[in-house]
Amino acid sequence: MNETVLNDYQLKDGFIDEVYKSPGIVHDNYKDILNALGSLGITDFDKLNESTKLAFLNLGITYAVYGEGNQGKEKIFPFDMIPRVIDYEEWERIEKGIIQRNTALNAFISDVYNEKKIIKDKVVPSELVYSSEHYLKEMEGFKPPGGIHNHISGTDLIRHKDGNMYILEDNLRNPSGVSYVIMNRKIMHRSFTSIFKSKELLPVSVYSEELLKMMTSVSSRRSDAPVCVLLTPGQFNSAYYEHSFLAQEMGIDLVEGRDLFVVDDIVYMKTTGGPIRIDVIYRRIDDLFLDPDMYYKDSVLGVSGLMNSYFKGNVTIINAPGNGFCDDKAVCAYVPDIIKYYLGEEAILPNVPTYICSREDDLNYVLDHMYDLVIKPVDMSGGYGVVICDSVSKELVEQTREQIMKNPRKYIAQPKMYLSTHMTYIEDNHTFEPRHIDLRTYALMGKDKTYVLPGGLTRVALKKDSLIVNSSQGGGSKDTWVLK
Amino acid sequence: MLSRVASNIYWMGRYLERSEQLARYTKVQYFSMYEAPSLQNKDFVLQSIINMTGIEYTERPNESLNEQEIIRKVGLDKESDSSIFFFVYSARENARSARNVLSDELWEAINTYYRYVNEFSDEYYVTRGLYEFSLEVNRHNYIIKSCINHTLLHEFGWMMISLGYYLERTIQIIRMLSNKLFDIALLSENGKNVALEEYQWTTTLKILEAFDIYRRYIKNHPNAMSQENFIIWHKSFPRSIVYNLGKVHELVTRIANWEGGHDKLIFQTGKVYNKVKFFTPEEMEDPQDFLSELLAEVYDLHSSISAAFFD
Repeated sequence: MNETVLNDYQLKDGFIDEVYKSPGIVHDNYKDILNALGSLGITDFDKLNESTKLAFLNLGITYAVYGEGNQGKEKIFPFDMIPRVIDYEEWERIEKGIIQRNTALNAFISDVYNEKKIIKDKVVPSELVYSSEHYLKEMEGFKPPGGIHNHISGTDLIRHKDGNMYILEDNLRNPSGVSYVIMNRKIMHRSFTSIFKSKELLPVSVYSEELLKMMTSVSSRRSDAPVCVLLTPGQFNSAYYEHSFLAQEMGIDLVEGRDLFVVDDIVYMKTTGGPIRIDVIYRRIDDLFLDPDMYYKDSVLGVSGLMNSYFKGNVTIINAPGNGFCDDKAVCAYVPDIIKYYLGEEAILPNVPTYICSREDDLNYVLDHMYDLVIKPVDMSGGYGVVICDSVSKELVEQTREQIMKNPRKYIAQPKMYLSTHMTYIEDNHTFEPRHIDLRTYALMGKDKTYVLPGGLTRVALKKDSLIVNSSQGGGSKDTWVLK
Repeated sequence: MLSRVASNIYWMGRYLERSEQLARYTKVQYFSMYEAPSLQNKDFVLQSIINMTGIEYTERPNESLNEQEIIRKVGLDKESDSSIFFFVYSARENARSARNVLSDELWEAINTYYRYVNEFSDEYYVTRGLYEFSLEVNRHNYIIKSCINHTLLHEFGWMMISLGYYLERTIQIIRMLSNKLFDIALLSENGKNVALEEYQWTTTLKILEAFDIYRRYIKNHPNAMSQENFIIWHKSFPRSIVYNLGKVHELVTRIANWEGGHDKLIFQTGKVYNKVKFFTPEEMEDPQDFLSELLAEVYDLHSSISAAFFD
């Protein structure tokens, strides 16, 4: 690959690019990487790219698309070989911001299920909480071991056109994808050694160790070696690779609901050496599947009697059930207020600016700037009722305006966000082109400390101009470096 | 170990072994068509493959057997549960559910094996690829077994996998031998044909990768056993029935030491093993009766293993 191939890189107007400051001017952090790329011919790069894909396949880092019979078509999550770099200074700020945010969210969940002070003080409207289908009444009055609800949080960030990082959303139920962070790094080390030259990176491979430490720290039973397991829905689940990877890395058993049973409110697993008592369950199944006695009666994924055992304090469930109301988009808008309320601090990482129409100032702004905004009903789910005002008919915008004026409490509004771009290899064209990216970070909250995985998962929208990075919509991922 | 995981890796061992045995049976049988002394026609060979593999095949009246269809059903039929594809798929699914008790090397070997079989072209396989496919199946199994023996602690998990494949091997040898005796009987219906019978034994030994070994063995032993007796009783031939029953018994004995007490199972495997070991060719009246009785007893061993470790 010669200079000209890289020089053909066309920046996208109106967006920040992570690699180039301006046409032809590369960010210092990326100079070595572009040099390493430049030293390869396009044929060599293609070869490297193919052998990397093969490594993912042979290691079985795949998700299956199941059809009829056994014809499971397996796919790899597309991986882009050009790493995303975050400098240490910026990472420190992100890390602090993530810890602050998740600490406040934990206090919020605990408060909502117990004293409900924040609701009584009218900082967060009660209907926002109680109308959520993820709010679990059974959790009221219960304090999980160590007081922790969101043991594992996945926080999604983007870089806007003003150059700042913004929080897009919180995932406090079962954030996935962390196995890709670790394997992306491993495979990059294997196949693209030259690119690591003279770079010192914060390690990601310690994640599973930190995860096990966190799990051990919140065991309900005092013991030097509490028995921890990972509960999977089974090998037909699309995230099964991750479940088995994490269990293997931690050296704990990967169990299914049918491996567990409850006697006298104690959870056991069936082993060849007889029943073994379980202390901590990292479950990768949804709340309502956990216990057929309490929720979905026909759930075969869960364990009968598990919730009673949990409420008696005999077993720890990670994450705690009932977190779902809190990663709702509408609640997200209140997080800066939530942080201030519990910690007395300003949020380090800003939210994507959100206008809450029940506030008069916000309402006036929204009504004056409809065409710059995306309007969302607060109780929305699955994207229903979202109006992107600059891309729908004038009629619909005016209709929406009337709706907001009639019932402002039902709406929030956000500006359209301009996700930054990153140099990405486009296989079909054999070229390097800018594509939009985001960043999912992973935080582990244990009894005494919170660990944030350095970097996280950079997701990239491989479709040209697409702002949607989800893997279901043609998204891929990149190795994410935090420089020491 | 989780009971479910123990069961899965035991089955993983069984499916791996089954895929290997049936691939070799099919390959040797199929290519024997082209080397055989006259009389041995194509339908006869194909029928033997159908009998051994248990595939579903409906004969059409007044038509010879469809070679390509049979070969495909044995090898790459993705809808069937008696194809080599299915055994490899199942072995890999079992491995996938048990990754935290397998080594990375073993997992990668099994996964690579699955990918090879899964991606093998159907069309190439039924026209020209059978030999290559079977050879590769064999090679993958050797790599996998090497990983099983060299990258795992020889403790409970390893024993479960080994128990699976020794038991399966015993079963497949018994079935194969019985099938070949049946073939020989069929060929001799119109009077004994020594050349043809001899050729069947050559095929049989090749299926067990023992053609050379046996040739050398008879050269050095004036009172050598017949092929049939060699396959049943030779105590150091790793694909004899008695050798594999011995392994099963040995493993079960060792497992009991690890997991504390499965006396009934030890007794039962010992009984089957010793029954064969101390039985002599002269006492055997009808080999088919002997083999079918033995097969039933080996199936019973499987039930007892399940009851002891997985239920």
